[in-house]
Amino acid sequence: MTRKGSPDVGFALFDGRSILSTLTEIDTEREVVLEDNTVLGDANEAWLPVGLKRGTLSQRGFFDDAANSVHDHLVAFAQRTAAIALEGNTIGKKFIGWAGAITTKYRRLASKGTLHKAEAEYQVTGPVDEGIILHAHTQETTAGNTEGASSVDNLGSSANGGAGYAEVSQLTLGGYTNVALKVRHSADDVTYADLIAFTAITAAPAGQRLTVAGVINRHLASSWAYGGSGSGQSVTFVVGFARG
Amino acid sequence: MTITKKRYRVLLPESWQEAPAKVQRLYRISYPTDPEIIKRIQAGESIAFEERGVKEVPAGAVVDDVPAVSVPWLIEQRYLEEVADDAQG
Repeated sequence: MTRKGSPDVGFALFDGRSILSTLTEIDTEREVVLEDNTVLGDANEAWLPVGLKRGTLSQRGFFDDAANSVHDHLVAFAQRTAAIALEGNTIGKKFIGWAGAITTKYRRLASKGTLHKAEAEYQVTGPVDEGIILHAHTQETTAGNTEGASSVDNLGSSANGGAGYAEVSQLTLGGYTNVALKVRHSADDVTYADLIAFTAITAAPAGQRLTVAGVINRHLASSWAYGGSGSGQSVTFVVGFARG
Repeated sequence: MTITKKRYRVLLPESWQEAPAKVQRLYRISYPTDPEIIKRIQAGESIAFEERGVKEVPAGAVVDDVPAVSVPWLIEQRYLEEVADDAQG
């Protein structure tokens, strides 16, 4: 086990809105819901899980009213997919994914002699996933993929499906019509097959979470390709996957 | 003596079969065709994508050069189906 610190936080994306550069604190919590199962005659309290999990998420940081920055994101009080990497912006590192984070409280603080601050709380709806980064939050100017040396080897397959995340923070199409992002998998690192194809993305910011059932093979990779033709294209994105 | 390679059709998953044709064509498999590269990967060597010489195959295509090591899992997971020798590609 290796300790991590604030320099390791790799990205914080809400439907593609990249707000890492405004944050000073993220607080995320997962909780298993229990019910008191103690009955008459028991000498000790007994608790049982009721089968529910819930998550909470909150943030603190600086107020920033640039387009698609923290103010635009929070003032909309919207439900968004979210992906936050606490351990680094690197392929193979873990990230936390939220199927739905609804902004429920947005607090702006202005005080004499300080920079304005922005704080928020979210209500988490749906699953919270523990995923692996398949494409770090970096820019790509040509089509490509991470098969081969940049793929993630999980050392075994799994049978319970999973969830894929695509978070696009910047997109310049330069005449192309869209960018297509995928999660791919392989049992042998020789042949790769499409596992998840996200809906083609035509504008940023954008975020998607898609689920898939069945076998997930040992090796995972991502791919990206532009549709149509053009020049000067670029896309900055994260693709990740959480096994079920 | 004639050597007949087995031929396989790349399948579309059932959940995609109602998708528009242009979306269906996105679904594909990819693999290196150089036996030496395949041998090195199987030996555990990590080979960059650019060096692999990968061939990309869309759904519906019929191919006869899928790496033998991959055929069992591709058929089991319904990515491929074997095509009869007299079938039209």
